[in-house]
Amino acid sequence: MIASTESPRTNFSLSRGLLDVGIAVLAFVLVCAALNALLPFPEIDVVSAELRFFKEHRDEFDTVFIGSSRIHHQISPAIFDRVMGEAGHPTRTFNFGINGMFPPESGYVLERLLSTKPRLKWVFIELDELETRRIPKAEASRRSLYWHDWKRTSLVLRKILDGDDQRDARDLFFFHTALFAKNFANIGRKIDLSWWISHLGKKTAAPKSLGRDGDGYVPQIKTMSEAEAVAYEAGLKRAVVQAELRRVSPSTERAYRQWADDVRKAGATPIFLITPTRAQTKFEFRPESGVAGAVMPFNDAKGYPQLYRNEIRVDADHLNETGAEEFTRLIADTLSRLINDGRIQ
Amino acid sequence: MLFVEFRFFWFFLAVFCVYWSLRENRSRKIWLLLCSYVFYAAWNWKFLFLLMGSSALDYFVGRMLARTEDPRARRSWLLLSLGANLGTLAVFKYFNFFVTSAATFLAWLGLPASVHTLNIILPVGISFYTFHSMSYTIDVYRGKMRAISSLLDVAAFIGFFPQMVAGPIVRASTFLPQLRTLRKFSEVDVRGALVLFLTGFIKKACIADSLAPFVDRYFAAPGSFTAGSAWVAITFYSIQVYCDFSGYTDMAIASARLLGYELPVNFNFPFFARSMSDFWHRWHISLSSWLRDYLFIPLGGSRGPRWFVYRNIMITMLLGGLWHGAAWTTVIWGGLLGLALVVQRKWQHWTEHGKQARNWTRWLGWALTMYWFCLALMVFRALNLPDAFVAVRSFALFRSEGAQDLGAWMLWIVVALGIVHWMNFRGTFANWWRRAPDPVFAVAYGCAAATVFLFIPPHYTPFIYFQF
Repeated sequence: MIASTESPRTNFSLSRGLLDVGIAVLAFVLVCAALNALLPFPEIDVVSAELRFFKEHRDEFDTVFIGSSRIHHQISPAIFDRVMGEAGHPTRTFNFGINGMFPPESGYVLERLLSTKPRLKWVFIELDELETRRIPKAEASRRSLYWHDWKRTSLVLRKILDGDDQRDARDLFFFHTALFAKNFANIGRKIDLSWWISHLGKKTAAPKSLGRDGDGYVPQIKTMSEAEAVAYEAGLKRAVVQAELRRVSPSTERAYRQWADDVRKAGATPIFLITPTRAQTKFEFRPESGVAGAVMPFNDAKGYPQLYRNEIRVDADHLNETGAEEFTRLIADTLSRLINDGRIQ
Repeated sequence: MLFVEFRFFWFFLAVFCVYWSLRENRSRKIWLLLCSYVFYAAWNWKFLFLLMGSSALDYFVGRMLARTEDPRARRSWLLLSLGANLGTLAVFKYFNFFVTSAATFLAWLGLPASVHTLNIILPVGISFYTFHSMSYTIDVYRGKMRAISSLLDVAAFIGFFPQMVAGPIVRASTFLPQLRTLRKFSEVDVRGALVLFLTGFIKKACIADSLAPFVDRYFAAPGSFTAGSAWVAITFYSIQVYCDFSGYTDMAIASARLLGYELPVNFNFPFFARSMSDFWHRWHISLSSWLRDYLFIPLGGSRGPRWFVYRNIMITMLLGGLWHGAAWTTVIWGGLLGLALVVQRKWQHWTEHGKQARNWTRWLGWALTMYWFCLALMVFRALNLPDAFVAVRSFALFRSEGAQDLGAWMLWIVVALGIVHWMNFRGTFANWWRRAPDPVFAVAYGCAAATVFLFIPPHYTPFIYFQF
């Protein structure tokens, strides 16, 4: 109970009041920024554990795949390394695919990954439009909060403002701004502090998400049911008919240019990868965008029919273990061909 | 819209700036009413009509009461107001409860009945604003205050956003005179209000919401936890419910104070109460005094034979329990606390009056009060009666029902919070922040707010009392 024991002041001045508010806001912003810089990296399920693992083993890898579940379940580092080795380009690969990790979150994680100063040669980045949607289940999670720094939030906000749906745009604009504000104000970061204190000097176990070989790859064993296969085929047919060439949004281009530059600064070559999803949209950067990096589009049912067979798919977006192995081999073959042709350094 | 949400900050900033820039009291009241309705509509705009209807009806009844001296007519008008307010409460809050309870009772008698429940949403704050509203007509009926001629005043009083959804339950006679005079910003204790708001924010967002997951875990399955966990869970829950509700009240009082209005104090260190009656003078004071003035005293109060007084206490507490929620657990909770009040009266009657209590009896009184409060709270929080029975058995008999453990070490958190609370009780934090020059206070406030944000969970938890 706060007791009011003194009589309030009688000589109020608006300018002094505003000055005091300004001072309080400045103090708030400075302390938030200072805490933001001092606090340990947020403890986010799977992401933090994999980043820690990568930091500890960074010298062991020279190739990284980064993206969503379409990377996590579909790229086998062991097969990639074997095929590349056979082609005379030995690699040691790590799969940094994390379920539900789309740009710009993947860009944030890539930045963190590069900050560990690894000695990388190739960085495969899953290419997709910047994700601006609200995902109801994850809205209140720390996972949706931690990557909302200004660099990422400004990209998302710009994409929202450039969009067509103005009604949705207002809602999304406030949603992402609120997440940025919450992240800047370090909301809920006591968890990171207590985690850091409780794990001080302790060695943490490798996360299960790294899979049986500890390289980040977890295959999916399931196959589609008959009904699912029928629905998948019908959907694929429609998608092939509707296939179009689309340029990514200017904000997405800006984001990928940034990440490609970061990868190059780290001494590696960026390669943008589009996995064999049902959506047959061919993404393309504008020539003037300045995004320097090869694009490997595999979402082409006509060009790569072997990746669209029912028996190797789990659903419209994911391949099963057999499909993942075929897909990985295809990527390695494509890369070695590009290297041999001198089209990629 | 919750007080701990970012959007409330922007909402209040707009309310505050426009309010103080308006020169006329009438314009300010219109602005306040508009903002209050926007605040309520942010939850569900359809129920705004209920709030408007309640305000209009009680204004009309007030006017009619002022026009007639005939006791029968006056009583009829009052009954109309009470019937409409309590009827609304009964339909929205208690209909399904009464119907299902009646069906269960008939089935128990061997007369199974097929019943239809309604798919009703409970309007936020209905229990609070109907009580605000009724206090006005009852006070006018009793001649304690004159009927208000301005519908705007009555609507602004009932709908005033800081106290509309979860109290404190403000009396018309306290608030309406404040509405009639132009508030001066120079008389506002801005610093006190800001500190009170931050204190409430800390209580709600840092303490109550942090304890909630442990409490929820225990009460989801009390049968699978140890007896120690029952003690940890109920201690945490008592702190959670106190910090949640008193935190809300602090923020409500602070918001109102920043607009120049004073709301009544609702909590006064209830965990230092030395008897159950002392507890009710410290916990949800606005409700306990409302029930005393508008229910217990009209029932006969403390006058008359002893058993008559005990009956009045039990009726008041059982209805008070029912007010907290349409469930048998809340009714039993009210009954248990009423029983404690009856036992206390009996004890006071047996022992000598006026004798100075000794130190050990004070401590014993405190321990028994807290024990009984926690025991009753077990029933209150349980999801159903069988769970309540299991939880109370585990707590009272120290009997482990399962092997899961919340961790008794967590009681250290209670000790730490207890020390801070005790220091606050002793006035350690009361005034030092008033002595600092304005810029120093501003820096300290900014730093404190930034640090507090570290300790709040990333998602908002609704206030517990919103469901009442």
